[in-house]
Amino acid sequence: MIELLEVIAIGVLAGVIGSMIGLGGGVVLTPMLTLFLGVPIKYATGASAISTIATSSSAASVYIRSGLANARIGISLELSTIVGAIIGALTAHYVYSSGWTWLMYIIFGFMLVISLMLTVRRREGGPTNIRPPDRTTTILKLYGRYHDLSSGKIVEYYGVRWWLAEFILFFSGFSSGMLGIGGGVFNVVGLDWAMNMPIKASTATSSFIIGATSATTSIIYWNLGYIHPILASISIIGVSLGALIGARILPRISDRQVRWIFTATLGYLSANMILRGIDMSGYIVLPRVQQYVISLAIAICMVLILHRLYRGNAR
Amino acid sequence: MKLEPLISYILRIGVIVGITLAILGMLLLLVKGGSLGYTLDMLLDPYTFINTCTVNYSLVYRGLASFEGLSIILLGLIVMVATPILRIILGILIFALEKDRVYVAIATATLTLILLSIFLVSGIL
Repeated sequence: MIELLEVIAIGVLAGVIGSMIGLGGGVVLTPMLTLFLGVPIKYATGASAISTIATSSSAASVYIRSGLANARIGISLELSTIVGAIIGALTAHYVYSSGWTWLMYIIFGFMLVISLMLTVRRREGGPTNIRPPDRTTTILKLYGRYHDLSSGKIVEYYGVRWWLAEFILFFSGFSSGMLGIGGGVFNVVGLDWAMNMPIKASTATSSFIIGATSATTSIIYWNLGYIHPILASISIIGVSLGALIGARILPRISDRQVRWIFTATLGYLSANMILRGIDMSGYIVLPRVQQYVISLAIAICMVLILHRLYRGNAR
Repeated sequence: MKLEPLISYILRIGVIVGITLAILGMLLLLVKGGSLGYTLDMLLDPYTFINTCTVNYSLVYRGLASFEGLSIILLGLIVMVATPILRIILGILIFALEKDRVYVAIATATLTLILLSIFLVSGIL
């Protein structure tokens, strides 16, 4: 029997951390449910996919109203995330039905490593070499403007290389379908790097896109029976509550503290997911205690590396 | 009509209704100690066989009228999943009013793909 309060607590924690690091709840929720509560990974990814819709919808509702998220750019790019989500979910089904469930833990672990690397790199700054508008800019009206509250100015921007963003966003869809996450990490690569959008607009547009991506993933998971109704609904409640709390904490802590939390959490969870997968594969036996100790050691190493990077930057 | 305020509105309503139904369903489940003939222990078991594929939907529909916790919860989940789809349909309507043919085509293609995914799995597997 699932301890109700434990699931809610994990949901809240995932919601707080997810909203602070801007990745949504799913990236943290699935590993926590599987590693700490022993929930089967299928049901954890199902709960995560639906919770991701909830967090995306409530965030996107605010971002769309304030003009930070660009509805046109979002809708035009959902095309490839949806195709990606369909193919990803069918791939996941193939992996599960082939009896390679352990492989999903390892894939998830590596996805967390990729998320960690992309996000740490991203905060370095906005787009560097701005390209001139191209044909897709005019045909698809990839223009936008928003009121930047921190500088008080109106920021005007345009998007370029739509086809390249569309290609990259296929992979965010694929990762969503495969693992029940939102795919936000790849979204922002497509929007910041390929389309040259300003960082705030691309983050907001990404959370808008995630809703449609996760809805597609959830629909296929629904029909495959990956959705445990009670687990999914408790997760939604917990993650949404957590996201509310996270939004209140975020303005009070520094960017640097957010990075500590992010690196420590993702470092630990990625290592633990990979080790759990290796153990489940049966090739190498790793008792739980050793998994926890090694993962903790890896997380500490990552935080120390981050600390050194900061000292290097400060000089 | 402006697209943005309507999308924002529909997303917010979807989340509020979805979460309210999930909470209401959970409370009903806990108060009644089960739902649709399943005990609370069966429903809360992480390895339970009860999932969106195995529930009996005709039972779920009938349960809505009698405030069955599981029926309400599933309805809440459906509302949650339907919200982004409604948002796309709304987009198509507004693009059509604005006579923006390119975006009507893109949003229609998006909607078609999502609707396709509803029938995809039950069809090929």
